[in-house]
Amino acid sequence: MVQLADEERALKHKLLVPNAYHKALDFDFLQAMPREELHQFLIGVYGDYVIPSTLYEIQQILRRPDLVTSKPGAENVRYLVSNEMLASVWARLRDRLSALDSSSSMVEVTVDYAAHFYDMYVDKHTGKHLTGERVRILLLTLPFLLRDLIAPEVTSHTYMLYGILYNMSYIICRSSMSTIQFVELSPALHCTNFSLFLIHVTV
Amino acid sequence: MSRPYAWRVLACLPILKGSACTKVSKEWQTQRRLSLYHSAMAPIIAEVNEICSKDAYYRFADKTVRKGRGFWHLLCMDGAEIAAASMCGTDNCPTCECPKEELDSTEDTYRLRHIEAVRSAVEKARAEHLNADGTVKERHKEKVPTSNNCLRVKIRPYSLPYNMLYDMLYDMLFAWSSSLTKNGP
Repeated sequence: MVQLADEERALKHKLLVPNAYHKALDFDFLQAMPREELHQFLIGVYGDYVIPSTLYEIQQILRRPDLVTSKPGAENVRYLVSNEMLASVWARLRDRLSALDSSSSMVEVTVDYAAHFYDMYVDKHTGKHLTGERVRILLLTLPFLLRDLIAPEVTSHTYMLYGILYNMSYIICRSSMSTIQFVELSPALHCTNFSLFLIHVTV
Repeated sequence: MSRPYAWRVLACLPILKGSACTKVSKEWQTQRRLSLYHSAMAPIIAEVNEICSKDAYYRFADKTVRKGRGFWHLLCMDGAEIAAASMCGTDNCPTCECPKEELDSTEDTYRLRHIEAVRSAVEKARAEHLNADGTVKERHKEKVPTSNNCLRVKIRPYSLPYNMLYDMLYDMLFAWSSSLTKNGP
């Protein structure tokens, strides 16, 4: 005997409740519904994979293995981009998202939506979901919102690196001065351009 | 189409929040939610049907009043709403016959589902499995053991009654002896 559940599975239709749309006049509602392919793409591919991988790539850029302040092989790795700096990146993305309005980007995004996005993708809240239409907003706007998102961090890195280089050059300069003095005093190296080379390097 | 006066709110549909229900069974809540949705949509669909069944005078976008007739054109729905309207589930394609396990075979095409065929099949199945009051008939909701389970029961010797085993052995002996006496030297 064919059971109810098997019949429902074969028909792709529940049987216990009468379907109100079956009474719609001259209306093939199964063919009039929006195609699921795009919906599956928006939620199943873009929402589930593309957005998380984009955020992951940004994080990987900021947390590059060479951008650490701890010694190589240390147990507790201290990143140059701290957790607070990383959180400020995601907060900046959320604020950019909430700043969208219809006059500039043809979509209006509320603060609640931006907070929902933050909870879902940054805090990885498992109970939060986005519908296909909501993901479509991200599909349209996220490429523009991500532009120069980490520019402040990159700039601060540059300053940090400049600072490190400045300190290093200062150290090299101080050491080279003593070296120059040593070179000048050394009769063997006195006639070479080594002292001039050091001045070019350190200045 | 996008002008505010082009839209008319027909109804606000009730929702069934799971946290507000005293029954915590997910299956019951899903069934109740589906029932609530379709019972709420039924009078709306009936009213739209009435609009679609006769001519009337309408004010068009160019501010000219013309005689026309409304018709069902499309459903603007989200994935969950599609699943509720088609009663198909979010993990199945409601528009074609593609089975769930072949959804990844994008190179194949499948026959489209049309309302006439689906409606008649559903009505036939409802008549077969449901009583007049909408409840499931006796023994139509039982969990049928899978083929493996059936096979295991059949081949387990301990599940056979002793007499049956004895009779079977007796029959085998009888067959051997009779065949030996008939075909033997």
